[in-house]
Amino acid sequence: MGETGGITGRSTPESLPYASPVESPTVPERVLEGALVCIGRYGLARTTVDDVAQASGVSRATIYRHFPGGREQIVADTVAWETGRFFTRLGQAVVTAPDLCHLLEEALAFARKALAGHAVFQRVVQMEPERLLPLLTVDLLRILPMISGFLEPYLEREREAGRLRAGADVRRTADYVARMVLSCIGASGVYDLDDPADVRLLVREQLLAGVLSPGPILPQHP
Amino acid sequence: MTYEPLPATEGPGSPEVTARVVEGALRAIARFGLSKLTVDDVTREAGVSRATLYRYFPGRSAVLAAVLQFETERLQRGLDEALADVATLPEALDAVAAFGARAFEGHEALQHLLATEPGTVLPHLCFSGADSLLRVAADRIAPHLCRFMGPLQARRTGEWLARIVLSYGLAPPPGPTEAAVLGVVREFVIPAAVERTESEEG
Repeated sequence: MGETGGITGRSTPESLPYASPVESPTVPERVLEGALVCIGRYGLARTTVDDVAQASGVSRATIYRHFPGGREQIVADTVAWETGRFFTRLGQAVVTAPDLCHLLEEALAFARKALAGHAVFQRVVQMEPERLLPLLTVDLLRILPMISGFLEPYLEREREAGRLRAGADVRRTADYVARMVLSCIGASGVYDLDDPADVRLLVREQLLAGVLSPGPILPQHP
Repeated sequence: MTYEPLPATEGPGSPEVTARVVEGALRAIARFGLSKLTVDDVTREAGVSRATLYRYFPGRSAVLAAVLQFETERLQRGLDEALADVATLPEALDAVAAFGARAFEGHEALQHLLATEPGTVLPHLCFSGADSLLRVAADRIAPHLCRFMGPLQARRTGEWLARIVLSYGLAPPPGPTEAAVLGVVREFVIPAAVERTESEEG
């Protein structure tokens, strides 16, 4: 119980805030779910504890017992929780990929689509980025090790297949790839990440360049 | 309130005064942040009078706009200088990465804002802000790489270096950021770029 993602396909509930290993939500999770709905409706600044109590069906007293920091803590914890859920969903969507290359291609395509379709995120990032982004930046420091931990088994598998660049350090490589994946999910830059051909190009030409040894998976001539 | 009287030769169009106001504003931001920044903070740091400042700028937002423009131009000049003497592709990539990391890490106003008022700067460095920034970076870096590779490749490589600087700048690992950026560029980016240009020639 509690192995990191990768080949076995199990995520690590303990590493996620408030994540319960069973289906029925705990009281804090109900609060967070309710808060997420409120944030989608009223935004980060205007969501109140009363709103959350109403949306979650949990009393104010119980809410404050679980979230003694009140409104500010609920908001910060909701962002952290939903960020964790986003990346868990992402991991689950790509865990059966046959190799690292395909995993990253699928991850970028899935993540871009999921982010574009995430109504609460889109609303808040457009209307209150100055409130959201400081919270997200803190979360991403926590998410980075999650992602690199997820990638390590795939890198090991590439190494065992003789496809990793000679002398590559798996942990350092996983950290680098994790960072770059996050960067690409957040901003597509010069690539059009809705175009599968561009995603392939990005993964093979930049993301895995210097990670995998040049060979059949990477093009010799771009 | 003391101020330095301007020499008679300097008129309302003096670039020196503009530069002084901009540099004063940057020092003031590095000390006091952005949200509570006043024109008086700026004039004090710049060593100009309110009257002089208002002769050049209608107000606070105009000063901040000028700061952005100045910093952009300064970065462009710095990048050009950093790449002036490079002879090889590895040197060029190294120089871009080192310049970018230093510019980010060493920018006192930026670092102060990231630490104390992240909401003011993060929108310009994440998501749609990052998109714009990466495209500008690609545009500015690409010309320096065109001697080693085609223009499209140059833009993509330039953007990639900017992504690395941004990632390590916003989520620094333990230890000096510049070393981490250079480590990653040397380990992953340079070997791949060299292999790619060699295989294109072959």
